[in-house]
Amino acid sequence: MPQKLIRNVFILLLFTFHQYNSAQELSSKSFKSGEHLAFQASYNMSGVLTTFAEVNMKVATVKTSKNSYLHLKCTANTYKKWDGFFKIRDLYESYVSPYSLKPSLYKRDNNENGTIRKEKYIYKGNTIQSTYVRGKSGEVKANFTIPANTRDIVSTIYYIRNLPIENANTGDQKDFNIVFDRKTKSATLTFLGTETVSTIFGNKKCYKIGVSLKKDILLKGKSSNIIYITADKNKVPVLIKFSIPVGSGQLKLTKANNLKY
Amino acid sequence: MKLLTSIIAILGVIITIAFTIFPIGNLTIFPAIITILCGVILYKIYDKEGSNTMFPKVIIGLAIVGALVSIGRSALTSDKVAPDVQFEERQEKSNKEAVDDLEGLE
Repeated sequence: MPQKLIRNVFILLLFTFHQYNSAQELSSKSFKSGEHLAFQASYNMSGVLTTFAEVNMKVATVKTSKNSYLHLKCTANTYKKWDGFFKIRDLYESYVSPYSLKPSLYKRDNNENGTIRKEKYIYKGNTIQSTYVRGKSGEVKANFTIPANTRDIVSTIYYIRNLPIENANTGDQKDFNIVFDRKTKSATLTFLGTETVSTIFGNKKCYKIGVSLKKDILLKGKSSNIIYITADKNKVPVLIKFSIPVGSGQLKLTKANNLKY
Repeated sequence: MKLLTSIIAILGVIITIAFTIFPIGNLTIFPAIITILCGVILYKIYDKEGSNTMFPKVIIGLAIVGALVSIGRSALTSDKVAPDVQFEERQEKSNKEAVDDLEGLE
């Protein structure tokens, strides 16, 4: 159950911010290198929220001999009290252009109670050169194609943060694609208006966004999966409520360091 | 009535103990309350019959202890991630490999 939760939480996270145009240029950057967001993940058991994991999102700059990239990293760790029952240490990374946020490399390294899952995508236009490991099987290489502008889970989160949500009208919808588990998934985001939410920054006006995946049993129904992001220049996700086949839960922002504004 | 209450009480105490073992915090209070209520009803029934009241007393005692242990643990333990050297090493290794991969792309 926590394994599915963590995975779904990440899937949900990627829809955190809604894009309402298909412009390829970034309107502005809502984050900078050094930003660190931490979330507390809770699962709803009979109306009582039980905390089980911490999710961290970090941005750093990585330099190679010729280029500079933004390293977008998400980690998920179960709390110490859960480690004896179900230990999760998940790592999701994307290396993107600091200008367009276009990904060049995506890596996933999951250890969920001893079950290993590794993936690496190298982007070459609309083709992805993937390498993956499932359990104790060896490394498998496979190439596959993706529709234009399809992004991985991590880079999508940050890309959408930069798009002009402030121009959206209540009820506006947008479909887009992400690649996960070597499959392209279609998602719909719905702008549900604004709401004041109690956050670590105090009471903040937030954009309220519904999320649903098409043709997928996960994250069905836009009204049960809701993301609240601050209606300011930083567009920080402060609260994410999700509903999945095995229950519901939430991610709440507990720490935000090095915000751009 | 007596049989049904006994079954509910036994199930309640099993769930209470299970919830006490798992780190799910205050949720234990629900089965514990149900168990205590059943225990009190059973105590009155046994007392009225003039039977030995040890069973309902044990049920009530276990439920109270379970609830107290859970609430206490929930209050005393904070949500912390244990330091994990292996995970840190995995991340560092991943960073190094990524730089090599990115160099290979250029």
